Amino acid sequence: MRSHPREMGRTVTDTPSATDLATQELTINMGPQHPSTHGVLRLILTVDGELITKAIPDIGFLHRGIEKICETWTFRQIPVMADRADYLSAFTTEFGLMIAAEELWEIEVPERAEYARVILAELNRLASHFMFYASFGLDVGFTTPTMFGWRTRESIQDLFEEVTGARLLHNYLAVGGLRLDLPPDFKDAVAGLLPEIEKSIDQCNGLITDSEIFQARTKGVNRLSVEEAARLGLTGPMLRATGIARDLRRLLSYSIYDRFDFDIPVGENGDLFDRYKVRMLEMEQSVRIVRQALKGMPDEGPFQGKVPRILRLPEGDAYSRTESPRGDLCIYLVGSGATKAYRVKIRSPAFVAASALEALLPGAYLADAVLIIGSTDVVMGEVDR
Amino acid sequence: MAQEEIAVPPREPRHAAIIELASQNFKSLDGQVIEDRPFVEVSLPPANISAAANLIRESEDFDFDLLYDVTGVHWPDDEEIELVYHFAGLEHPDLLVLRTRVPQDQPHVPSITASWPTAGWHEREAMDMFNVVFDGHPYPEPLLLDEDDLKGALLKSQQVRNVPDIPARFRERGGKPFRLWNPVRDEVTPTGDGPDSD
Repeated sequence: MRSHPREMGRTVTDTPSATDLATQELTINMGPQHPSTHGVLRLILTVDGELITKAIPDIGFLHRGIEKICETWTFRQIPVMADRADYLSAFTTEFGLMIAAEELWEIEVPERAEYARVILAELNRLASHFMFYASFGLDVGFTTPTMFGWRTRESIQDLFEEVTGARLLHNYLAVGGLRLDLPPDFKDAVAGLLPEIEKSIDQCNGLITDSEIFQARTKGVNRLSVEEAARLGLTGPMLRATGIARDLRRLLSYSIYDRFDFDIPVGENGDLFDRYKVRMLEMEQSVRIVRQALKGMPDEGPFQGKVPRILRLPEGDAYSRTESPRGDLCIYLVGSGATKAYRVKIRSPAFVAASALEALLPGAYLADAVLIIGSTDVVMGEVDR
Repeated sequence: MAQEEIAVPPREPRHAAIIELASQNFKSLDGQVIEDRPFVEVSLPPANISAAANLIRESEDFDFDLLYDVTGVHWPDDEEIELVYHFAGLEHPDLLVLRTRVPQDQPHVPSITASWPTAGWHEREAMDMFNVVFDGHPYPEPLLLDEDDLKGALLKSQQVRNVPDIPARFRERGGKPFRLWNPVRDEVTPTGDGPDSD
């Protein structure tokens, strides 16, 4: 039994034992319009007293047929749809899609565009993790983290708006580079934002990370081992929290990630606290990467590689793997010689995390269910696609 | 360009080693290693998919501990649905891909959920999108699509439809043809005394 009060240092006195108390299993519905299910996730929970015995996640409420639409539009139009998959970190999905397309076309990306992609993707990771912080704080029962998280995320999105014209759904990356050139003061704007982000990370940490109440709610709850996590297909921070330093930015060194010096934070127990802590530490590393990228980024140069006017996807397929804020985001792209993609499959880490709830929730307390859902950091846009 | 300067980790020897391993292990399952691919890809008859997935799970030679996805591609000219399984490792960058083709009128393939529990949802999604039947799936319920007429949405025979069923009262507005998003500006009659709108 996970997360028993005794394990958390509390003393339990005069509790009637399970044999004295006959309880009846009860099936309860949670969601899809539940404030803490991060969108439209529905769970059918079977509870025995306060303990969850069975959980069936029900998804599909936000299904828009993104993969089908990608087959009916020309390739240049697809990034619009990629944005709408993981709307909290749109750049990472666009990034993955472009890597797959460039692999298929064998197009080289100019240096400046590569740096811009990395900077934007890392800032997007920060924005997404700030969002995680805001909602996870709220899940635990604190309201102030929400304000702190949203505030800095909003500053990052202001920068995105300045660069791309859109706060959330950017449609900015294109095959062979960027769709538009960067604004002239891009470097200064990013450099000016970094101290604010760093200060905010410190404030966020100071607010709840060391709080006794927060730790009592999260430490030792819903522990997970490396083997279990891998068996459930979990990747990203969920997997790193179990103690394995697996990060595709290091493992594959896609794009230009091999030029940057950064650490891969890992947890120990894979419990809720470790999943939270890993994300908080990752944010600091993202700032480090952005700072190095700003230093290395050339001031002048093309933002687009040599791309033919009419893009026909060659016959064949490509499989790109990128590290999204939620884990391994893979895009399987099949071309058939037409301007439209023959098949686009988005393997989303949030989809797998939502499926893992089936195994994570049983054995936990009903009160912890909200925290466990929050710790997986699911984005329903990416789950339902 | 800059790509040449990057020190790429030595992948070739490992790639060759996995191909060797795969061709040895999958020989008894009629598996054929597909040549000249960026990843190690094995083509198998559909009946042996479950055994092959189990082999990857159980055998100590393979260190592929993550199942990335189970997905399909429809090839209407061949009247076949191709199923693709991507396996990855925890500590190395290689991929192992299993491919199989099932006829579209008899799309049966054994489920691999017994050895890879995470395949449960991927297979249910493929069930929705391609009408493939995964024999032995513990919970073969629809996942993303509930409506019966949307079943097999990613088959090439399914067309994307236009705006569905617009209620009659919205169909015509003042004699103008209905568009899903009517521009607001058309409706505004300029009064002439307000500030210039841009």
